[in-house]
Amino acid sequence: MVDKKIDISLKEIIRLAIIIIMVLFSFLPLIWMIAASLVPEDILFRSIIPITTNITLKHYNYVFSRTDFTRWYINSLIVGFTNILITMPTATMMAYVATRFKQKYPWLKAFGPFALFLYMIPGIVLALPLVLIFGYLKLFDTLLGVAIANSTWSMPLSLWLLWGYFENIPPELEEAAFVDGASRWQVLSRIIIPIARPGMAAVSIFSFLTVWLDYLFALTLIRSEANYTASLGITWLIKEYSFAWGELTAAATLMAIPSTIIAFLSFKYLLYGFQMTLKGVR
Amino acid sequence: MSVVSKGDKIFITSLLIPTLFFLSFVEFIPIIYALLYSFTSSSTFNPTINFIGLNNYINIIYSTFFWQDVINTLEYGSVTAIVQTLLGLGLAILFKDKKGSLYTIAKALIFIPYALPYISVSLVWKFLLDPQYGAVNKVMLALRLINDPIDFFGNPSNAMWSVMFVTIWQFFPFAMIILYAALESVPKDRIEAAQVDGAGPIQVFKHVTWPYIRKIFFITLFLRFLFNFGKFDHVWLLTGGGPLRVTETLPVAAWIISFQQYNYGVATSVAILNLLLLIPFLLIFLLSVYRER
Repeated sequence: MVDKKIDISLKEIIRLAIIIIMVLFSFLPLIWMIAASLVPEDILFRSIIPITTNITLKHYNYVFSRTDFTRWYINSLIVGFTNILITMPTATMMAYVATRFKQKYPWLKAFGPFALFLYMIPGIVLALPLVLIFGYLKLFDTLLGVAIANSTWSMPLSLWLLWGYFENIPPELEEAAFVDGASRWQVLSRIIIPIARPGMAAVSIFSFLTVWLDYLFALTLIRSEANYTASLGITWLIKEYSFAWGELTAAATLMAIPSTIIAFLSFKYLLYGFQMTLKGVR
Repeated sequence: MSVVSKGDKIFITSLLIPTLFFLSFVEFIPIIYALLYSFTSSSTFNPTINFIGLNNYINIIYSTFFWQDVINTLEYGSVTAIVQTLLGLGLAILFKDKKGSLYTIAKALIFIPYALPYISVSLVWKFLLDPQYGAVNKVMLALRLINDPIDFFGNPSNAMWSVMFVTIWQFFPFAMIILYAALESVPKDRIEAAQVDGAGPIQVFKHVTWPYIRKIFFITLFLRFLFNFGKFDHVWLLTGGGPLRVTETLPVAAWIISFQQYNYGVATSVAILNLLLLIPFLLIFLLSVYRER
């Protein structure tokens, strides 16, 4: 055993105290949400903090059996994965070309700021006209429409992240293959895509998360209850059962599950990704 | 690879076309559409192109609601951005050089709100801050910090602060992660050299760390500002722009005009103005970031 010097200076205590307070600040509302979904309503209304041994799953049972929440949840998953299928391959191709041919075509250097500009366009500027455009194309009130609309956020972000990623792949790797007579297509499929896989995975996670969080596009582009995403489903629940906090928090908890898993699993990778991108910025 | 062959051109074109096609479909054509309809008196039910010139814009600029909405949008965007970034920096400093697994879990726990659906976030905070049943009011009443419950979202003087609070709660982890990554990339030898020269922690931060992370700090600040400037979800879900329009930002105004007043022409004008107001800030940002390259 390594005998660590125990540092209990005042500074360390203050540091730890603030960190613990901030963890509680971020995490207690979630604990509260989960607790509220598991206790009977009368306890929830009476007590300050809903803690009891009298745990019940009836709110979850209600959400699953008496509402269409399962369907809406699956709709959200479908939209999320469709968004990945749209965004990830196209963004990978464009980001690769932009990084590799920027010496030849200098206008490709404007690519980074351009992607950032697209990302910053207020969603409402796109959502309003998409109502009309999707109307013509029979995409209004469809899950595919919401998936496409959400790519207005996920695509620029993916382009930006992958841009940084490809910048960090040394061109020497490809040049060796070209010397061996490989074509660009072979290099792309056999060298670049395998190396870029972690980047593409990160981009997929981001695309999924974009859809999972989204409210604006679903609200604007979906009308029929059968096509609701889970977010709209919760809004429907709020309208129908305004004070059924048990059911509402149960649905909100179900929606928080994929997010929490993604946040936890991707956290370390995300940090690494930012560090790589920051190297590129400097 | 100095010459671009014909095969290369086919390669480049076929890789660029899917994205460009897609981007034009979801970004450029919609903006052109919005611009086009902003010059019409079109209704949402029956969108027709009947040009009325700049009338929408003139009416909006001379209306009482618009400038208040601009101020609200600027306030919402800037206050949330500044607080998020400073809070993120503070935490990043506390976490600096702390790589133990407990610290990693703490960071990940703080990060979770950032990945939560807006609907869940708004639901939880509306409940927690409810004047009658909310835990926050209950706790403060029990501790006798207040005599009467506070109506966080219903009282016009509190509503904007409450909405901004929830936005900050959800988004500050992003600033924390970016700034933590920036702090970790400050070369250790420079910090040590400064310490050897007898610099205290504040001096080390001021003269070594800050110059190194300054750029990232301002990038984060600007990104958060620009992002919140066009953000619809939190305001809409928490207050819907009310009470008495005190939280109405431009995106929310555009949505209400389009889908509650059915005035598509005016709604697209407000949306276009939202974009136009954002562009100067974006240009300042892009010029300052990319100028140094």
